Amino acid sequence: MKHSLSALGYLIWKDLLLEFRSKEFIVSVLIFSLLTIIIFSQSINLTTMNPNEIGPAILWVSIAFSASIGIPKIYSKEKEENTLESLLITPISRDLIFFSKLISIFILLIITEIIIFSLSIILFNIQLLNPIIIIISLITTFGYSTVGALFGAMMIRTRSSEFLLPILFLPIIIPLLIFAIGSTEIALQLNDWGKCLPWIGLGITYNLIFFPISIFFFEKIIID
Amino acid sequence: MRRILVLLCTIFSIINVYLIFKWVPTEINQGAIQRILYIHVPLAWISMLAIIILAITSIIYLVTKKPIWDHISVSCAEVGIVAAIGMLISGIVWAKPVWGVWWTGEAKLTTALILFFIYCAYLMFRSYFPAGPLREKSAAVIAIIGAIDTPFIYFAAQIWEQNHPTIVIGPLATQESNLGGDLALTLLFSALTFSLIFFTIVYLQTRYKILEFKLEQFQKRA
Amino acid sequence: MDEAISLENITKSFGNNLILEDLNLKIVYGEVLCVSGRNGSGKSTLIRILSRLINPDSGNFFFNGKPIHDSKEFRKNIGVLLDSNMLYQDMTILENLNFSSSLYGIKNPQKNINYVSELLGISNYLKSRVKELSRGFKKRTELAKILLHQPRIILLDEPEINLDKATIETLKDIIVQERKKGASIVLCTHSEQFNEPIGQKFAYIKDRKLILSKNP
Repeated sequence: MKHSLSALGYLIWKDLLLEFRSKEFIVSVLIFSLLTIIIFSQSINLTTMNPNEIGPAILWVSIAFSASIGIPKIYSKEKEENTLESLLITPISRDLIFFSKLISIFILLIITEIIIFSLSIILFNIQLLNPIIIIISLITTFGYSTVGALFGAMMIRTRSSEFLLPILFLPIIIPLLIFAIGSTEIALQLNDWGKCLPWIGLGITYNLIFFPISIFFFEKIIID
Repeated sequence: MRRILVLLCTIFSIINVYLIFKWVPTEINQGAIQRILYIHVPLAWISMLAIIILAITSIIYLVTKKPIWDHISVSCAEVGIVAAIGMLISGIVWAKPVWGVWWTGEAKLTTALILFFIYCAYLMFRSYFPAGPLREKSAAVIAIIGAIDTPFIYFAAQIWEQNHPTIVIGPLATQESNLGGDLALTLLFSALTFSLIFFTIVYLQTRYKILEFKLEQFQKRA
Repeated sequence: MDEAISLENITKSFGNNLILEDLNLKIVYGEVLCVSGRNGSGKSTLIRILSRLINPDSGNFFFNGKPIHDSKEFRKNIGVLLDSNMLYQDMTILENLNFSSSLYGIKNPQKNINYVSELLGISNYLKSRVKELSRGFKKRTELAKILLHQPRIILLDEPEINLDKATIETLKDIIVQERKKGASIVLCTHSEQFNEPIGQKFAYIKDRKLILSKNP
């Protein structure tokens, strides 16, 4: 157990170190999501629209799109340099590889979200610093990371991962996307925990079901 | 077997067409347009049935690793996507005169649309991924996850609907159509016919895929 | 002598290509097995089957005379040099070796790292990033990486590629040394440099079959 935890720590450290040195994920995801947000905010007349209604949609759609762009990057190291095989012959449980990818994606997405949130506060003048919204983003990001870590692993053996991943990823995370937009709207307009509860229940159930399923299937799809 | 199934399908379809267009009385509120429902509802039923069977056969494939289950899965997905397209188009045509809009954010519509995209994802993945056991296994996982995802989409869309009431302004939107005995019977018969056609096509497709697979095996040995 | 790995009636194909057919092989501790064969004859596939990176279509796999229950225990005992890249290019040699030893749960990694890097002559380059190294040094680092946890079964896929003569001699010494320690070594190669004097058993793959022979 202790060995597993330290191995997990090293796996995450390795992912983040490689990301820190190449900056592939952060750069592509940040630029892409910033672009989406700016394009939206330019094409919508913010003076006539209620930013509390339109803001959450733009925010979460841009995060979902950029996550689908960024997730293949987390696996691109293992893919382009083909290091996955040498990871698979080490005596660590394959679940650890999944956990490490999930946590790396989670950490990187949270960093992205912090930057995007700050920008949205400036652009749309919405009050995103709210405990409900923080919980909503944690639930959503965890779901994105789970589904992303599983589908990203499928993409290692194909050349068209950058194109195929969004097509698989986006339909599956749509419940989470609806959850994130709907509950953020309520949090912004009413700031009421009670009204958010059915939403939060849905988000948590989604994670509770998809997390074990993804762990279970990960080993099946990673080895021939 | 094959001939009998095709013959049965033909007979049922002819009776079905007669029932829908001739025998059943026109519904009072919606008029002739209501007859689309006799095709739309069975198609919706097929597209749901297909994803459930697809998920079940995918699970069986993952457990047994027998190629036949993979063949059945692909056939289901192929029929399912056609049914989903048919359901969407017939639904759109029906909604315009009845609801006054082509499309709205209603929970069932959203679910149907995303279901279509899940079928797309499944089939596109299969065609882009290099062939081999890894492709079949990954596709099975996608199918299972897609099937589990569908109720979530429905519930999410439903909560969404509660908070964002859709405005349906069609002339007949508020009137509840009452399904009388004849109407219900026709619908039931139509659903039966479409199910029969579904199983026949899946059966034929699977047969074809098995033959293809055998040919490949044969070429491998040669 | 004890059996390390034995394969029974292994068949493997990729898509429509049948690579290996009805393959039987016994690998014994304290022995070196040299497998030769043309390009594309299935040597790398054999290495991947032996390291359980790919599951064969059919056939049985035994480790220490028994079917595998705990694959982690098996993976702890093997060191595999694959034909594909095994190092993270953006990390230094030291980081790569440290990372690998943490995955194997090695208690005192510094000692092992010092030992293998001395052995393969990379101790002066530990702080350089892998992508800045020449191919020969990358190969040496990969060899260092697989010897780090002192495996009892060593599978090498064309280790001579990109190595100079002196390093090949070192590699031969290492192989002999490991064999004396009781390790079992499988060497896939088409170089004749390994024919004498380290290879005791020879085999070649021809027409999807593995054929054992006394002589190279």
